[in-house]
Amino acid sequence: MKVRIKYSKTGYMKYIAHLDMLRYFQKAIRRSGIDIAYTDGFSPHQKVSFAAPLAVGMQSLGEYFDIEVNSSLDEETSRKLLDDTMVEGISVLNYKILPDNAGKCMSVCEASDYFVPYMAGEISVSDIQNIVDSFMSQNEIVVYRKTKCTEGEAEVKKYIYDMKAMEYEDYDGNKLKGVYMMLATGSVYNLKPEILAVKMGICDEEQAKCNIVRLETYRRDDEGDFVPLDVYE
Amino acid sequence: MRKLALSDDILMHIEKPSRYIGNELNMIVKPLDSVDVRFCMCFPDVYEVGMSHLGIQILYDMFNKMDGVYCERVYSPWHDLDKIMRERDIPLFCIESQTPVRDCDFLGITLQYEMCYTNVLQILDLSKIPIYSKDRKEDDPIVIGGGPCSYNPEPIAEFFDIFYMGEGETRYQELLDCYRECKKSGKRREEFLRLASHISGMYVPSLYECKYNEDGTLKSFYPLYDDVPKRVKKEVVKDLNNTYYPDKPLVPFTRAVQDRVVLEIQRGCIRGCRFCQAGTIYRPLRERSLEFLKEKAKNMLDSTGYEEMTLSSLSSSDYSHLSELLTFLIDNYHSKGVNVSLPSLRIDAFSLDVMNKVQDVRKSSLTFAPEGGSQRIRNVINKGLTEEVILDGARQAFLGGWNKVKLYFMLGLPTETDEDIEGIAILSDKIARLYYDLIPKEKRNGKIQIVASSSFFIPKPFTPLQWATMLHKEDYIEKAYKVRHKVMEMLNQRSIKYNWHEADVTILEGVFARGDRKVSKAIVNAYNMGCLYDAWSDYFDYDKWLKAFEKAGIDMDFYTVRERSLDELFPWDFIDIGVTKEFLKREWNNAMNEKVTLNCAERCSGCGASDLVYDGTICIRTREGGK
Repeated sequence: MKVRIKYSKTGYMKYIAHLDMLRYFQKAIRRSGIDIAYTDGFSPHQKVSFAAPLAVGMQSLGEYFDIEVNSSLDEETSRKLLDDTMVEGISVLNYKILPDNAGKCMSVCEASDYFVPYMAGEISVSDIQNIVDSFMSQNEIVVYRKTKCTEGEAEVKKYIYDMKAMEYEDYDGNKLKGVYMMLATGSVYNLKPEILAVKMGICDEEQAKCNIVRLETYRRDDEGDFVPLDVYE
Repeated sequence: MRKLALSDDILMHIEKPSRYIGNELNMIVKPLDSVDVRFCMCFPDVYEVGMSHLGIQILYDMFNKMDGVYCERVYSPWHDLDKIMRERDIPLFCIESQTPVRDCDFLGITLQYEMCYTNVLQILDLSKIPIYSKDRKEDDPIVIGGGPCSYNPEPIAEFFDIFYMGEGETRYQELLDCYRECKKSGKRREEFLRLASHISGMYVPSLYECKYNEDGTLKSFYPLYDDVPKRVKKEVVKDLNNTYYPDKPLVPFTRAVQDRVVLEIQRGCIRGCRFCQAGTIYRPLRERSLEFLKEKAKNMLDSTGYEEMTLSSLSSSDYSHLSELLTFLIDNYHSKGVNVSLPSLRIDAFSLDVMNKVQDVRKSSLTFAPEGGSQRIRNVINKGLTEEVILDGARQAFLGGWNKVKLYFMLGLPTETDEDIEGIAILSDKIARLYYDLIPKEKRNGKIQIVASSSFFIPKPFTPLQWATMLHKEDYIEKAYKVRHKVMEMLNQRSIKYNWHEADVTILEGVFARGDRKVSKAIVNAYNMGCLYDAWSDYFDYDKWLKAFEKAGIDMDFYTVRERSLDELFPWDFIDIGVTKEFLKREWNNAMNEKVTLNCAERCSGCGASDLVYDGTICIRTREGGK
């Protein structure tokens, strides 16, 4: 049985690296008593696979990984079992038993949305909207992009699925103003929010690296619409 | 949410920020206004090393169970953060509350190896606590040391207010109560230290004075006041089944060096190897019961989710219930995906059977620690392992499919001859020959792989070999070359890989191990010249150390190659570890006469340590006899 776990990682837990999160959840699953499946062989390991890794410094309200279990209690009980073993700053938000034909979270993931705080001084929400409008009114948006395989200028406008001004309340209850953006994520195309944030002048690169919050991760459903990774009809 | 001591712009620019932010699973959180004593526990090395230390996990659990006490942690900031903290004048902080270490009442530093001494100074310096005890003011924390290196505290005595001699479980409550009383009645720092010196196990260096002979040796060492004890007695836990042991150890996010549940099965050792300090300072042997260990194993696995568990002790094969314990752990947990990693066991039918269950034979290796290359030298050091036993163990293992062997030796032992040295190569070759004779070609899983390693012997306080002389660097290296040379003459030289440890670190460790108070000046010099993380070969800078000693006007040879007479007063002689100096002398003479002493289970040799636990009778293990 395949299960998708959704979790959030907020506050200072943004400093825990992706590989450490993986190890953290392997132990958490053992603590929770979830009946996870193991691989065969001399040193069996848990059947776990993670979606798009989150960079150190970024927080998230919508992270996912898949596990395979031999048996399962109901979804909410299981979610709570796992959530009860968490440290402050990491919460288990969903435990979703997947239909058999669901693809792995890593391969189905196509978009994420983010909140990027405006950090270049005092500003009103409507002025942020003006910045967004003028940015999006350009015919092309060319950024300098560096990935494992390529480096150079790239036209990325078609990978920006949505963008608007947004207000956001952080973990300490502070109300922040900034930009909401929904961007292509995953193995096909990956557009990083910090590149656009810097380009738009809403924060500098250093600020972007440790202040952005990923809000949700999406796949496309049968109609081609974006739905969160844990939504299956 | 608590506020971190380091800002985002710092944390984003240093390696592994998770070293400094805390919030690990099972971290204890207490509001600071709910406690009246704050104790900061320090391991003076990088986080991943410090988090692997069982002793701190035990004491962290113990302190935090005490009413009104909050125990937090601090480790050495890595080079990158060290630099930033100095540049921006950021004081060193406790991981838990993220508040300055200097705000605590106590700073406890565990001393696990001599090469951490510059890191001790780094911790004090970054905490803005004066390096010398004498310069500390009323609002500075009480700096307290403990751990194996405190068995000769003298080279670092001036940096500490108190050393706690022995096992931490017994006297801390008393010490903290005394501190509270003093605080309440407005007593000054020095008044507290004076009262602390009355508590068993507490050594307060500032209350003692040493005088030296003209030749530099110690003339006398005595307390300055009549009420301060002349000798400081080591503390031991009498009943290891009725004491502190964590049910919920801390689990780091980043991978620690020891990243698993650790079950300490016993303390002490019956073997009596004459070079081994742990073998004397942890006497007498005390075992934990099977029930205790089974319960702790379950609780710790449940609370941590670790997928690996290991046993910890000296000479684990001597633990009375080893086979029952291992069988229990493997039967109950191996099937649940918990890997039981074995300590180094005596190679016999039992251990091979266990290894077969939990390890991949093709990947795992056999470990032998003959320590000396010939039977003669093994008799000198009282290492009971004979060639026959090694070859017999190897024979069984080869038939079981093993073909990797690790051998550990020491060079520079007292009375050592070329024959003893060359014996390392000869023994390695004999093991290889045995393999090729025993296993027909078609059944071999490739070549046999033998890795022989040697370290250079360092005489340690409170061991029978504490009177031994060391050598110069070149002499050590020459010995290693002799082994290498001999290996190359062997028939199976292609199957033998020989490694040896650095010689310069050995010299320094030797100086610190048997040093006196004068040595502290060189440590301060080295630190001021930039020495840090000396236990890390990448950062160890021998030339700087040589300059530091030169500048302090200290001749390292005095501590290393000088011959010590049997009646010399040693800087550590004021510590009473239970084992008597008479016994150590007897054992030194036995060593010189190549005479073997039976282990404690076979016969009591009257070392004196049984009095610490068994009140005038011999140790229980001796009464029960060998297996």
